[in-house]
Amino acid sequence: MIRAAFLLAMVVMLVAAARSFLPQESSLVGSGATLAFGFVLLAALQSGTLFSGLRMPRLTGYLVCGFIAGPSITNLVTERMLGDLKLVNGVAIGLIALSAGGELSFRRIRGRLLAILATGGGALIAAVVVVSVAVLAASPLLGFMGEMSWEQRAVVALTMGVVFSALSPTVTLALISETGAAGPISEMSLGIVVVGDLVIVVAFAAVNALASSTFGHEDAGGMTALLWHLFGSIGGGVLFALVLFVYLKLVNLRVPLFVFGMCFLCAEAGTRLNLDPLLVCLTAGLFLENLTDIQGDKLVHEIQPAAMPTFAVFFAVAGAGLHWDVFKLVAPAAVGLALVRAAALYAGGRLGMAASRVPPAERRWLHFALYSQSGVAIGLAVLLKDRFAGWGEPASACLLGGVMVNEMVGPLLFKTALARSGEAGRRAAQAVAH
Amino acid sequence: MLRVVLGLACALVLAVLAAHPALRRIERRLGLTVLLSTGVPFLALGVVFRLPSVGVLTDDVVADLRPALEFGLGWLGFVVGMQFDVRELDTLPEKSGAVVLVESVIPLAFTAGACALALFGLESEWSLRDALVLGACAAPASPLAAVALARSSGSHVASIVARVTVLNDVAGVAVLGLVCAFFRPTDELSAWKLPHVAWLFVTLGMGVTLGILTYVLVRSAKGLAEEVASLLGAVALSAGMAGYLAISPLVACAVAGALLTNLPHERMHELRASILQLERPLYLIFLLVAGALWDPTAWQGWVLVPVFVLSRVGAKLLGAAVAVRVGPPELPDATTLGIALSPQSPVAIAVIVSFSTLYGGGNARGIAWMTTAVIGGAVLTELGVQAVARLRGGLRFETGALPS
Repeated sequence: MIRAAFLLAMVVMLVAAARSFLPQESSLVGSGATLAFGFVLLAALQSGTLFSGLRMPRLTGYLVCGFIAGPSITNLVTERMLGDLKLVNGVAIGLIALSAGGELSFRRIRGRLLAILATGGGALIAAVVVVSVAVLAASPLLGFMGEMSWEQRAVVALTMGVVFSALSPTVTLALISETGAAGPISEMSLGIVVVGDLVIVVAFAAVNALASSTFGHEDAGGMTALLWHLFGSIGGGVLFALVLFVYLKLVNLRVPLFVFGMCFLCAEAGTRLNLDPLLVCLTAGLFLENLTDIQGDKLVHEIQPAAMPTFAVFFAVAGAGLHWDVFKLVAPAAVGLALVRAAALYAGGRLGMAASRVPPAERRWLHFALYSQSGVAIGLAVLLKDRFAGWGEPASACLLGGVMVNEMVGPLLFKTALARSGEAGRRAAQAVAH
Repeated sequence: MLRVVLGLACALVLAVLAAHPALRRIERRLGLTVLLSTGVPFLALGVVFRLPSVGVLTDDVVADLRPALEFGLGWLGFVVGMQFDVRELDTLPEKSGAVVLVESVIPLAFTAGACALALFGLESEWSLRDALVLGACAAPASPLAAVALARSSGSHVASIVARVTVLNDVAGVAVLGLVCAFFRPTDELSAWKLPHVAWLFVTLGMGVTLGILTYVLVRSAKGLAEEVASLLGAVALSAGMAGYLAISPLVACAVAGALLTNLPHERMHELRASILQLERPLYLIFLLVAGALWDPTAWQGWVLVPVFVLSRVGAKLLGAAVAVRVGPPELPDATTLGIALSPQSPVAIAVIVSFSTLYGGGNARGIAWMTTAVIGGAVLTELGVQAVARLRGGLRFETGALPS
């Protein structure tokens, strides 16, 4: 830990020295992004080690590191550098999503499919309904809804409810990978959050259309764009999987590098063709694992050396993107929303688990996988701000505040659950046994 | 938009094919360097993709890929620096230092002089800086020289020449470092106002600090994943810091790499292997972006090509003649040595690209000519040397093991 603290201090001092060369607001194309990437990666790795020493998730260390280094606090990584890191982040999302899809074998979880659907379905329905009702009930207190009719308030509340119910495959996968967890809770958690996020993206397309018509937006193109975003991404994912399949069958050399290149391509395609890199790569992973004779977990194993830098950069950038100044303004609403969501997910999840007869030992820990939020929730909240002038921005601020709470607290809870359930470290033990 | 994605997909497929072992086998059979077999096609691809009518490497895409260029330069810098292992150099026979000196200084001085005259003829606003950088590009020699000499003169000579080529690379990078310190790019915005010599210390100090940081990071890494992550971060941080301070990432990272390789570490071989494993794919991406940033349309650049090639090859032959007199007795005859050392190292292209990214905002026209001269010169030299070697006999560039 002392070594990690020393290295962290050294990296921070070096970057602070370099940043003093140019005025605060200026950055250089290329160098700024490379410097930010190197700094974020090294500082996050050391912070992860420090947090791990304190028995907290490395991931929380990455997030806290990014948050402190980001524009809100020390501004070592400026807003512009964050923008330049967008592509790196896109590649990281692609790698994480591909791993999540590749780990999820429907053959393996066939026996638990009902439990996954019931638990995920129960939790999501409860979260959407309860959060929407809570927002609607609090609408007289929320300034941006003051002038709206009750019908409009209901639509805004429903939209916020859907966005705020998003789960986090990235956090779940990162923690399973970090703790080396294996077992029913890990498998079911991954299944629930992956399927849950797919459902949320589809549901967002629907509420977006509803909100557009309610607020009289000329948004026919917007709906088409959303449908393209969704189904185009799934189609892109199938194409990605086929390319990867052919490559693995015919060439099978430098696989991590090829996968990295493909993820870069997905990130570029995402920006230019309005596709979602997460959905593209998730579909690709699922397709390879479940519809071809290529074992997704072997592919995941091949790209495993890239997992640590990927997670570190992704979560540190996510942390840097958190806005303390915005959070301070919406803190009570954000904390309230996070508590309501957690209660709804807990109740809905427990109900689903009871209905599908999940064993009590698993019931006790499984719901902890549901509280974290990250990329999808942030992406949808930002989309809300961009699409709906007027109420979109304050609604997005409330949601992002809530996401910030869940992003910090969720991983802690899930790591504890994996450790207490006895699944942490079981992957290595299984490998030795085989 | 679709065109951009398809174009990048095409580049990815070509990069995969270019790194395929089958292509490497063909390279070895034909005795080609990576520069001619895949480097030039990738540069050309960058140029073609950048054309407005093709529109694949648009301004946005190039801006997205710029960090890859900086990172690639940093990585190549580490590769160059990590070859500078003092313990290995200590095993060289006596007087080998003289060979390195003459094979670096004579090409550097001759090429700088000849190109300065040519630049003066083409445009009266020539500068010492530009001439020195062309000189720096003339010093590096391809590692193919060692392969070529292995058959005719034995492995001992090949090993001496291999180390000479490594040190020629280092000399080129060192001159670039001096240029960056003494001819600072315009930095009115910068908050640091330092005398030129101080920039030399900043460059060295930064390289050393980053080398120590990399060493501690790598030593404290637990497992391969953390080691790879630390290495990636260290290279990115080094390249980014250097670029941020308008110092060449190639130079700063070479200093860091040289320090790293000379510190004790039981897994240094694995570390070197990790770095070398990524060298070729990164080099190809680097060349793709470099091609996109290169403007080969000016005729002046092509006029500069023969001047650069003739002065450089002439100087390498002269250097070889002097080296045979002052160097160790194992060396082959002067012509054989001179021809073997003539093909240009990929480091020369890295030097000119690094220079153009730092100084491109100033005399961009002249820098574009210089880039054409170095890239065109590399191709022309290699083709010419291969032809001469085949006609003359004695030297065989083919079927050897290509270092890197």
